[in-house]
Amino acid sequence: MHIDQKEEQGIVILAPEGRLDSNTSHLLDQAIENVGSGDDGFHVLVDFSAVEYISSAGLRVVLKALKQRQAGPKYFAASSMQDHVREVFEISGFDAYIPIHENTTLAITSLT
Amino acid sequence: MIIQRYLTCEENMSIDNDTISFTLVNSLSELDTLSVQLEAAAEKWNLPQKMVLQLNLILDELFTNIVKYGYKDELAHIITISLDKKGSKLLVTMIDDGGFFDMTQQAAPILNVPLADKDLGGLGIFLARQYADKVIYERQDNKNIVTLIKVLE
Repeated sequence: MHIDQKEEQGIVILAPEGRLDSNTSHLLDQAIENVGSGDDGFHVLVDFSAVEYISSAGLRVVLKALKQRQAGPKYFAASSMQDHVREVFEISGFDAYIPIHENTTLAITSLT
Repeated sequence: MIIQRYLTCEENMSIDNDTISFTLVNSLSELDTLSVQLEAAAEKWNLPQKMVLQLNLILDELFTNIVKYGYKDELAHIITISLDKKGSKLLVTMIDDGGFFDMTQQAAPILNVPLADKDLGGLGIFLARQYADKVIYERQDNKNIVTLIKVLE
């Protein structure tokens, strides 16, 4: 799985491509871990636009990141989900914990 | 690479008119094989993409569960999956020789808990059950036999 990474206004945007399952999710986990979460770190935004499939293994990575960053100072956010992916988040009750932004622009606005 | 995968999948796959069956070994890398096989089924039966993704999620969660928790030994095991199209229903059967595991008896996770208490134990099986229209479990000859029905919309 390729994960595109860029930085905008103090936010690291990670854009994984393809399938987030128990075979690949550790790569996203690692990419998030690599971004500092302390005062001199960055917010993390995962841009899901190129994620065509997610299983509970992918949700596990999101939950871990949410828990680690819940208390700040650097937050975790998500955006740009395809319908099927968003549905899996909703069925799992994750939309209660994480705002799922329509696109990266709106996500950046709300984080800055 | 893709062409190679399709060739392998043709070799492993028996197709008669309304049945597709294939085998996976107990390795998470087989999730790729699973999705390739489901794409082949989708093409054969002209299944909508949404259905394929849901079917993939169901079988992924069950398969991952078997690979992670089903076996006490380090040996290779075969998991057999059959898809049977019966009119507007898809009958999906998954057979493994792992330890007894009846997914229909798993308690559903409590979804609405504070984030700090959120635990994903059981979420995969929960998702599989949410997306299947019916799930039947049987234990026969030391094998788990899970039959799922998915209604084609």
